[in-house]
Amino acid sequence: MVVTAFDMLLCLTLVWLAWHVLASRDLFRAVVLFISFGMLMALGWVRLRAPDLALAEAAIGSGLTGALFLSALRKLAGTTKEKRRLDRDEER
Amino acid sequence: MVNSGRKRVSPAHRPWLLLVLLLLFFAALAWVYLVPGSVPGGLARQVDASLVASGVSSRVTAVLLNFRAYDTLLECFILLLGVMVVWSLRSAGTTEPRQPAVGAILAALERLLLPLMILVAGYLLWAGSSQAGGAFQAGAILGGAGVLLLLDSSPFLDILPKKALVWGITLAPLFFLAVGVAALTQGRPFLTYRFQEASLVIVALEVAAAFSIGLCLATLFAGRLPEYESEPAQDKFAAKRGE
Repeated sequence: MVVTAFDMLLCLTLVWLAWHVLASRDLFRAVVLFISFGMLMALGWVRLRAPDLALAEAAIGSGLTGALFLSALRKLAGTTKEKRRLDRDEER
Repeated sequence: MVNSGRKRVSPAHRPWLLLVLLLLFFAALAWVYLVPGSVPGGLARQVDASLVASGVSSRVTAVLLNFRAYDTLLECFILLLGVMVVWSLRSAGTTEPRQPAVGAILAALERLLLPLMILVAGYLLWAGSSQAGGAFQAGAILGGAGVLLLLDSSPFLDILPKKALVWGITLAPLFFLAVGVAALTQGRPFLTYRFQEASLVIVALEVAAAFSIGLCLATLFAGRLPEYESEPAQDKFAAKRGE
């Protein structure tokens, strides 16, 4: 019962996090949420009895991809999606 | 802006549409999973039946490096391709120097974590043959150690001789290819191992793969071709011209 409740909570949190990663205007916030998504996803893989995937998700999906995103973010000038979208529209 | 009287509407401007699409996708997945008979039993039985012949006792490793070694070979090449693309895009990005490190905390963390990370990577690599773990996980940890070093502006990628770096990155794909071709020359299908050698070949492949993956990931994070002093090459040409 407790385990089922935990699984439900995990699933809901994952969907909630995924939604906020996509909808967040602040890219830094989106990246941080993405990293937390990866961590919880790893937990999900453990619950699905796939420890190999959990390890890969935590190390590559969350850790390294997160670090890559953060370093890419530093190289981008604007940190909001709206601003960069506006810049791109102006270029057209 | 004459022809575009209508305002462009990207999916991001209509988040609810995206949510509906996602829910539909989720419903389709759930339907496939929940309707009885729509999911076949999977290949677990076949894997278990031939596990003894694979040379390792972990199902996942047996699939990744024996039954479906072809996939892992291609994954290694994809990582290599990624590094090549990043290096070729070097001029597109800004090559400003990294900001100076956050200092003492990062240095202390590095001193604590780096040996531990290398140890864990080695353990994961070894554990991969019988339980959870394996080349990709170990490689990711090694890559993480590299990233940690790069964060502290450690120029370890620049110090490394170019030849060593290139050989290190291409080690796994080339070794994989060599193993596959060796099987061909002995009259066996591509990337198959003899039963007596399977264990040894798989462990060797995993070690090479973990090393290359770690180096690839760290290089990807560096995001540029390491800076080499161009003096030696110029000197060589100068000497030639002088003669």
